[in-house]
Amino acid sequence: MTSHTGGSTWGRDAAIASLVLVVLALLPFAGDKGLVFLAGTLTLHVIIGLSWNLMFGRTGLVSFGHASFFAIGGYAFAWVAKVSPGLHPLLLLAAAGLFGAFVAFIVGVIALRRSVGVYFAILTLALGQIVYLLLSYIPALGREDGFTGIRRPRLALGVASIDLGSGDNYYYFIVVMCGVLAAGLWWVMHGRIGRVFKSIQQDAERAAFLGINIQAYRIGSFAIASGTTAIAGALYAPWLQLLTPEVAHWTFSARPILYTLLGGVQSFWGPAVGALVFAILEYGTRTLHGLSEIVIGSILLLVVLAFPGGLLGGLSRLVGRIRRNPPIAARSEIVR
Amino acid sequence: MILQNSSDNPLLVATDVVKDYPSVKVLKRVNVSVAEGDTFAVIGPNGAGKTTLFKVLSGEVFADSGTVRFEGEDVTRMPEWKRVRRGFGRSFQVARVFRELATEENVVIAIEACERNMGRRPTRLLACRPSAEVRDLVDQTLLEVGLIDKRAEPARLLSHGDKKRLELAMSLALRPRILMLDEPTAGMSPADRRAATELIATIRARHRMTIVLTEHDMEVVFGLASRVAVLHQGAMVAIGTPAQVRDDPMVREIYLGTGSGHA
Repeated sequence: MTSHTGGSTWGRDAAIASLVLVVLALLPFAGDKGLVFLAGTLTLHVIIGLSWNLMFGRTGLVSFGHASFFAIGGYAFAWVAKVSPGLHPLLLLAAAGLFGAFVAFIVGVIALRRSVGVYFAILTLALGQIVYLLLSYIPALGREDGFTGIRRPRLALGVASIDLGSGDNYYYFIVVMCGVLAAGLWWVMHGRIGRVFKSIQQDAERAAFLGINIQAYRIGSFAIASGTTAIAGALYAPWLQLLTPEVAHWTFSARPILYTLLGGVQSFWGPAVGALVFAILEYGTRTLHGLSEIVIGSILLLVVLAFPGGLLGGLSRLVGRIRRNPPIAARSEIVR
Repeated sequence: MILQNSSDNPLLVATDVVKDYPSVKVLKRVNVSVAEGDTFAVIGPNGAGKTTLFKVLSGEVFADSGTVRFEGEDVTRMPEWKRVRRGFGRSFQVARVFRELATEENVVIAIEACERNMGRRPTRLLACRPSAEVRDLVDQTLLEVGLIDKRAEPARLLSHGDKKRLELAMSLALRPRILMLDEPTAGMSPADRRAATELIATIRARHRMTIVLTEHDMEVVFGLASRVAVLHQGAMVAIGTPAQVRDDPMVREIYLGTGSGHA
């Protein structure tokens, strides 16, 4: 199940992505407004999960503060849109992403200097709490009441101009932007940089003895993942039209971790599957007041214990067993 | 005792290297000079400090005092990845490879790292797949070390000897000026050991590489080395040609154990 299967995972992943995009595009015709809202939010959560796994599965970094970048992106977008309303929304998104990446770069330079592992995890957790507290105290950002009245902008595209405030336009905007972000993450993971990241995740010392500046690449991975999540946060702000400091809370930082463990760390799609399953569980247990967390928690525990490689890891092992082959733990995604 | 420091053309020079770990003094003012084209073997009993000296030379740890120079440049406190960019390549005592990746992917990563180290930019920036030149080099390298048939196998499934070969392939892919091998035949069967020795000899002849190695097996040492250094309790007690070292009475006493009862 290696090289001779013909082609990298590019063809398969493109097919999966197209299918997902078609389903998302048709959703507003089939479901009500509530479902469309959930789907849009889920799409953003998929990006959070995928970008977190760029750090964890591909570079070997554990961040407990990923939500803080989602919040940083969202608040940056909302604040800039308020103080200078004329800016193009794509410019705003890019700025929010760059700002998130910049914050990650600064934190990374400090936190990733000497060690990684638990040290880095705790520092990112602390960062998350700092962002959470700052957002609760800064008057210009709405303090604990949150940032209200974030408007969905008008998107000027040369010839045409689309009002993202009307109908399902903003939903489609989210889907398209998330598609672009996911494609970008796929490219990063499967290209030259991704190979360097993977080598660091596998054995950092060995990578250093290939002349790889592991610290620079770790910071790079952290900045790319955080910048991507910041853009997702910026897309989220006009979607809900309200931001509260809760989006920076550590419980939200746990989400991408749960998605990845649930779906599978090895596969590109693992966190996406995890986010979907998590959303279904949440939706299915929404009426069970107080029981919801217990049910979700038990199911997560069960999955993680039963399938150490997540749902997709379990699936690939099952497929392997049916084909009377060993499990596909090391699929050749790089060469031919 | 012989302590001649040859070297008309020293490539790697360590002077008065001291390295202590909290409870033990591991290296006590060790001097090493490796000339261009040498195959320099460091031998010594277990705990003599061979691996520590190796780490200090390659940059895995820094010396407490003393200097390490490479081509005249002071690299004493230079991190390993920068040394690699100046021409160091090394293997580990227990082969370290990227276990979850296929054999060929390990080599791809090494070759692409070499391209970056040399400051060459890739021809197609957006392509995910390695370039044709890289793939050709991968084939060549795998052929050279005899792993071409196992190219698609996950590295973790390779045998111990094959992991060592793969690691050698990765070090070779960097086209180093000096190749440092930490016990290249450790844990191998006698047959594998001979094959590995021959492989190293072939590679040395083809690439005209300077090699520094530590080794337990005397057959390997005397088969490969042009110069041998003996380390004993953190001090260099003899340096010379294999024949000189073999005949040195002190070396015989402390290391080879011939003629005396307490070795």
